[in-house]
Amino acid sequence: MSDKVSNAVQKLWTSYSKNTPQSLQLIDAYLVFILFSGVIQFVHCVLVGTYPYNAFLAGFISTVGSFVLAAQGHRHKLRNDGAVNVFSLRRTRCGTIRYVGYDGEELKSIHSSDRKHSDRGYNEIYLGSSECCQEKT
Amino acid sequence: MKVLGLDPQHQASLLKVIILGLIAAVAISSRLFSIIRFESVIHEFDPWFNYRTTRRLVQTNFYEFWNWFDERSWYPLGRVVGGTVYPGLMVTSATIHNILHALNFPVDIRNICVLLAPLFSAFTAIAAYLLTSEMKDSSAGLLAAAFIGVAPGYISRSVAGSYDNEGIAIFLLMFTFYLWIKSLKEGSAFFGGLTALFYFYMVAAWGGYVFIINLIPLHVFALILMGRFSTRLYVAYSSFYVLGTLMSMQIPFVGFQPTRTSEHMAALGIFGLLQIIAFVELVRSHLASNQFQILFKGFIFISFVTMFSALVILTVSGYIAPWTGRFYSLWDTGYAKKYIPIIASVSEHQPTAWPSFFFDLEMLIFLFPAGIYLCFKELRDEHVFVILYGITASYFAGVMVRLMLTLTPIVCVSSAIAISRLLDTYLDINVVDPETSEPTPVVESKPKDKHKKVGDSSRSAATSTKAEKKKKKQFFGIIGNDTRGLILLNFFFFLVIFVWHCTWVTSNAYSSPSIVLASRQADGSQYIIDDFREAYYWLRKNTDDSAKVMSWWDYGYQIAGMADRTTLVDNNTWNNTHIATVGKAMSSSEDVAYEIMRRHDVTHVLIIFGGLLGYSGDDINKFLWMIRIAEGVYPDDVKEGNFFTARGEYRVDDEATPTMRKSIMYKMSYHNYNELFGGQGQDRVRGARLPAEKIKLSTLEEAFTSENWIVRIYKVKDLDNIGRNLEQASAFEAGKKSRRSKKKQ
Repeated sequence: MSDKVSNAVQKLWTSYSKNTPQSLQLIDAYLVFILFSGVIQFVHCVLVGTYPYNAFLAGFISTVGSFVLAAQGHRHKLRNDGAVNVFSLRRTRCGTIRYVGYDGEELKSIHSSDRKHSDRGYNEIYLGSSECCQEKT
Repeated sequence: MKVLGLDPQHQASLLKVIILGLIAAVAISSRLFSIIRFESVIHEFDPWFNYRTTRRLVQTNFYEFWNWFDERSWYPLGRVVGGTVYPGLMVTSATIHNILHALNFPVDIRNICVLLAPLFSAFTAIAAYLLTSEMKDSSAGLLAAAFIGVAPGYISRSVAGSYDNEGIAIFLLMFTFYLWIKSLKEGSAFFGGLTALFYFYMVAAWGGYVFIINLIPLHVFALILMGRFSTRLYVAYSSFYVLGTLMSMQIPFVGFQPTRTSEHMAALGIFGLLQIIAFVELVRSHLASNQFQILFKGFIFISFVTMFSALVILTVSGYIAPWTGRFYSLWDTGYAKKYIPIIASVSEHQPTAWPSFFFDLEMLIFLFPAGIYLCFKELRDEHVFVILYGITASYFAGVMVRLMLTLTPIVCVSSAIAISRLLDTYLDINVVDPETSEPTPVVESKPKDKHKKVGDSSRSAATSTKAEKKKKKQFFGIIGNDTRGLILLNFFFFLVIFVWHCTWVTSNAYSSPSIVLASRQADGSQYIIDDFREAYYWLRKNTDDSAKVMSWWDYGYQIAGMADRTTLVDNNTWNNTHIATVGKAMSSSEDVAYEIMRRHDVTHVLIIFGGLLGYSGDDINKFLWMIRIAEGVYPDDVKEGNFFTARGEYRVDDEATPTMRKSIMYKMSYHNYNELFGGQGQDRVRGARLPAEKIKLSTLEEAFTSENWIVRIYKVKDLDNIGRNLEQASAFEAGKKSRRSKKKQ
C-alpha cells in the first residue's frame, strides 16, 4: 500500500517535471512559497493569539489571494482545456469560441472578428449547445 | 430592409435601447404617485433616520459621518451611528448631491433622497435585462425589464419618498448576480473582481447581502455536485470570494463577521472545497490511472469532512458565532415569538398570506414555475443559478412578508423566460410549410430553425447532413396565422391587464406616505390628516432643544428627524432592555412610571391615539406588545395577565382591569376624551364606550393634542416645590378648587 503511494508520487513528480513548461514551474514554486507563508501565519495566530486581528487578516488574506490568482496559471492544464462538459464555452484570445465535448474533442469552432458578441452570437451559442446536444442523442 | 439607414442588426440594437429607455421612464413615473398627490416628503419611519444621516453627511464631511456618535438618540446611552449603519445609501445620495452642486444645480438633499429609489428602479430594470439576456436572449431580457419596472413587490419598497436601503439594494443584487453569471460563463478573473466590487457596494447598502454570500456558494456547490467543476468556476468563485470578503470587511458594521459568524461560513467552506478539488483535478491530469481516482476521491471526501467538523466544533465552542436571531428566525419560525418579541412584533416579519403573492405579482406568480421548468430543460450553469435562487427565494418569501421583495426579481426573470419562449414560438412567421419544402441550403435554414423550438423540430433540420431527411421526419410547428393571432391576442390582453393591475396596486396600496393620511369626507372631498407633522413641528418650536421625548420605539426616527429632539428609544431596537424599560413605564401606574421618567430625564411623553378618527395603528393597539416586551425583562413588575379581563379579553371600557386603567398609557390616551363627547366617550377603533369617571393625571400634564387627537404630547411635571408626592399635591389642588367654587356660590 505504502509503496503504491510512493510509486504514485514518483510517477506524479516525473510527469509533472516533464510536462509543465519552465515558466509554469516557476509560478508553482512561488505558489508553494505563498502556501508556506500562509500556513506559518495561521499557526502563529493560533499560538500567539489574534490580538491585532486586522493584521492577521491582512497578511493571511493576501497570501490566499496571491495563491488563488497565481494558481489560475494552471487554467489550461486542467482536463479538457478548461471545459468539462458540452455546455461550456471557452473564449480564446483571438475571439474564437470552441465547443468542447465530454472528452475534450472539439466539436465546432466559430471564429468571430469582433469580440463583442451581439445577441446573434449568443443565439448561436445557444444553438450550438443545443446542436451538440442533439447530435449526441 | 433599411430603416433610418441602418441594417437589421443595428435596427435591433436601436430598438432595444429605445425600449429600455421607455421601460426606465415607466418605472420612474409609476413610483411618483405620492409626490403628485401630496408633496415631496420622506415616508414611513426608517427612511427618516436615513434622511437625517444623509443630511449630516451633506452638511458636514465624510469623517464626521463615519465617526458619528449620536447622543440625541437612545438617551442616555447614545448610539454609534458610524458603526451601526449601512452607509451605501447615504454615500450614494451625498455623491449625487455633490455632483449636482458641482454642476451648479442646487438641488435640495431632500429631493435627492425622495427621488433616489425611482432612479435606481430604472437601473434595476436595466440590470434585469442584462441578467435575463444571459439566461436566454435579449427579447426575454426586455420582458424581464418591463416586469420588474412595474411589479408591485418591488415598488412597495421603492416608491418616491421611500428612502430605504432596499431602494438601491435590489439594483445591486441583480447587477451582482448578472456579473457573477457573466464571470462564470467567461471564466474571467476580471468579471470576478467586478462582481466582488459590486458585492462590496451591496454589503455597504443592505443587510440582505447575506443572501448573496450564501446563494453564490450554494450555486457553486450544486455545480460541483452535478459534476460541472471547471476552470471557469474556479477562477470566477475564487476571485469573487477573496476580493469580496476582503472588501466587505471594510464596512464597520460588518467588521470581522465574515470570518466569525455562521452566516458567512458556507462561502468559506465552498472556497476551501474548490481549492481541494482544483488541486486534485490538477494532479489527476498528470496521472491518468483509475486507481488514483478512488484514492483521491477519498482524499477529497476526508478533507471535506475534516473541514466541516472543524467548522462545527468551532461553532459549538463559540469561536464562530451561531446564526443571529434575525436569520435564525427564518428557519425556526416560532423562535422569535418566544425569545425575541421585538422581532416577532414587527408586522413586516409575519408570514406571508396567500393573497399577497397574487397582489404583488399578479400573473407572474403562475408563470414562474413555467420559467423554472424551461430552465430545467436547458440546464446550463446559469440556469442552475436561476433554479436555486427561485427555490430559496420562494421559501423565504413564504416565511416573511418583507422578503417578497427578494422573490420579485427572480419571478420576473423566469416568467419573462416563459413568456418569451411562448412568443418566440407564436411570433415566428417563417415556418416552412411541410408539404412544399425542399432541402434548402444549410446556411439559409439555420436562421429559420433558430426560432423553431417547439417539439424539438430543430433536431430534424439542424445539420446539413440531415437536411434531406427533413421531408421524411414529422413536422411540429404552428401552421396558420389564425392560431397565432388567437394566442398572441390572448397574451397581449394578459400583459395589458398585468400592467393595469400593477399600476392600480401601486396607486392604491403602496403610495401612501404614512405620515400624511388621506380620507374622504361625507361629500366626497378629500380630507388630509396631517396630525403627525403638526405634532412634531409643535415639539420642534415649543420645547427646549434639550428636551427628552419618551415614546414607543416606532416613532423614534420621525421625532429625531422632524422634531429634532432627543429620544429614548427608536426604530433601531438595538437595546432590548431600554425598550423594555420604556414599555414598563408605559404600562405601570403613575408612581412607578414617574420614577422611571425622572431617572431618564424625560421631559415629554408622546403617544398616538386613534380612537377619535378610527386610526387603528395607535398605541393602545400596540399596548400588548409593550407589555410583552416589558414582561420579558421585568417579569415581576409587569404581568400580561393583569391586563386581560377574567374572561381573557382585552378591554378598554367598564370591564377594563384596574391595572389597565391605572397604566399611564390608558390615562394618557383617554385624558379629557369623555369631556370631548360631553359624557361617555366612544372609542372608534376598539368600538367601546369608555367609563364615565374622569381620568386624573397627577404627574403629567397635557401639553399638546393634534387636530384629530392622533398625537398627544404630555409634559412631565417637575418635582414638587415643597417635596410632596405629586399625587397628594394634585389632590390638594383639586380640593382647593372645589372649596373655592363652593365659596363663590
